[in-house]
Amino acid sequence: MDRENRARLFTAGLAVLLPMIMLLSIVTGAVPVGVDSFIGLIKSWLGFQVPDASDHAQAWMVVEVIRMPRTILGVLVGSTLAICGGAMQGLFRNPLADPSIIGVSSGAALGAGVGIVLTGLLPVALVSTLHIYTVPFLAFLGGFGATLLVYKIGTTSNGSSVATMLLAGIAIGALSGAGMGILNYVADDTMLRNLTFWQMGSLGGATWDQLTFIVPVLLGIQIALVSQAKGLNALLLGESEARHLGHNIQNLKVRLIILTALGVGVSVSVSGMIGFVGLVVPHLVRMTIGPDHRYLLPASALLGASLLLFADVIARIVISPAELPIGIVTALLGAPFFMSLLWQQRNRIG
Amino acid sequence: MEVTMKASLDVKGVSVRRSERLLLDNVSFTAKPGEVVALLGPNGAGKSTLFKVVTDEMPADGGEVIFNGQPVNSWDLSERALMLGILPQSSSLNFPFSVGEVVLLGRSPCSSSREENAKVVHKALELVDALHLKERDYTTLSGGEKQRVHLARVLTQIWDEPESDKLGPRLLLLDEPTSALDPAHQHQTLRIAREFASNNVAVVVILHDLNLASQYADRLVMLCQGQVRAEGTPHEVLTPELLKELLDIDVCIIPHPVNGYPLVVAA
Repeated sequence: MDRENRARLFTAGLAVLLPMIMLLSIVTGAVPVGVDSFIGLIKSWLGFQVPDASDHAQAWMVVEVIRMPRTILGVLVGSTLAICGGAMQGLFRNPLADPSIIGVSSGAALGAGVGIVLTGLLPVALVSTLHIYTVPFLAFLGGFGATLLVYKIGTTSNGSSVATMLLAGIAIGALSGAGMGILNYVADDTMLRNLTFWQMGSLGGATWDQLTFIVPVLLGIQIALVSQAKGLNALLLGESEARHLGHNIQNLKVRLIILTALGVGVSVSVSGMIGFVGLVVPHLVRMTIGPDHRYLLPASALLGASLLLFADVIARIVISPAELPIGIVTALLGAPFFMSLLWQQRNRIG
Repeated sequence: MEVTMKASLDVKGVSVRRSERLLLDNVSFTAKPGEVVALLGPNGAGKSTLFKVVTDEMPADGGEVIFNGQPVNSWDLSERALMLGILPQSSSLNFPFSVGEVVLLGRSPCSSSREENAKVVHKALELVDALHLKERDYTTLSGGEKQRVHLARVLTQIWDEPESDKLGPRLLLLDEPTSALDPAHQHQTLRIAREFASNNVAVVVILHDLNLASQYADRLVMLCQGQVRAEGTPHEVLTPELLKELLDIDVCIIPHPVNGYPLVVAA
């Protein structure tokens, strides 16, 4: 079977998998919700009469207010992080690039932290409205600055050296860590709790209000990134080669840096730092269907959504009724994976 | 001026200066459709710098490069890509594309159909003797195989004459295309260059092997310390005196027993 057909089949398989994991995410948790109960809820949404509606009231409430937004947020954040990871690896021409490893996530987290503390200092009435926009915007700025810095430091005309890129990531991580430390000092108790939450990552805070802003933004970023697929493919050949193939590289790079920083920044601002999704997912997809971004990016989005939801389900059940921060789960899964990649590539790292 | 002999590439007095050092000093040469021009010179003569200026990767500090009547850096990139194929010395591609996919990337500027593209990819791989590699992972190839695959990619890019004739004839630029190849494939690569030239393409190729240049090029341009020191047919340029002066080698020149072109042998 040729690669294109395999890519289509693989993507179709992922498209089937995702709704199943979404269902799993909706029915799992501290409060038991049966599948029949969920089906009943959908029926009632569609206007059908559900005879035993009152029995399901509590379960429906949990689903509507908590699990649905949480699941949707997981799908969006997982797919965005995976797509951004895939695009970033193309931009850096380096399969080890990942927002969390090269410091983009920590830059975004610092931006988000500044946003939390700043909005915390404002009068309460302003906060709720400003918060939704300020924190993502500052997270974007932080992520953008970090991406730009790593790109400038780590990339030459021959692509990016893994070592330089990772070291730049460490430097940015340290800088962001220092910034976060300062914020911890000036923060009051509420802000502190928010900050800690941001550093560990969680999908727990999802609300419908938030989603009305997040859904269009993240979907837009994903579509925009997928539309850069041809340019990314050419870019893998090298910058001048891509230019000779008729691509305006400067514009392409600017678009990619802005879009990935925006995607990571907004994701971080709503769910905290969730690492390694952008590394693991595109890598798994590339191993299966090859590096062609026209297939890699959509398939990564689907797999990233499924994987993050699955990690969230694990985070919810291992120490139920309490929850593990999802960032810990993805790090536990992703860090060994990253180490094995480094192990494989250790001879090539200069 | 004769219209039919109009140069496709016209390098006019190009100079490049890097912190006091003059890398290129008033370099001029042309390449017309139908001819193969070989760019020769010792290491550090400025060949690669010249190549970068000609391919619009580096700005010139003086002079200009005219491609099909327009400065090469003022072309619309996607239009230029239809007529200008550039093979760099090496590629930094390290993602596991299949060989077929790498070559197919060369078709991305063209607006032809999928079937047409697949056909061109097949023919180009056949031409460079790499059809058996089509399904292979590019990153597992040897240096010489990679070089041939990229040649195929560049050839597919300018495979057909563009339909719109306002774009002008095609130009193929090859930077040391034979550096990693075995003798058989070195000859094959230059035969391909000749074949494209005979299809109304101007070809400029950077070479180190004087005999390959002598056998396949119509004109040789000898670059030394950033200046064009000799230019002309192989017979005019490949003389013992000139080679001693420019390349510091003692040679005898003998005519090829069959074809008569000058052969350079160490004295």
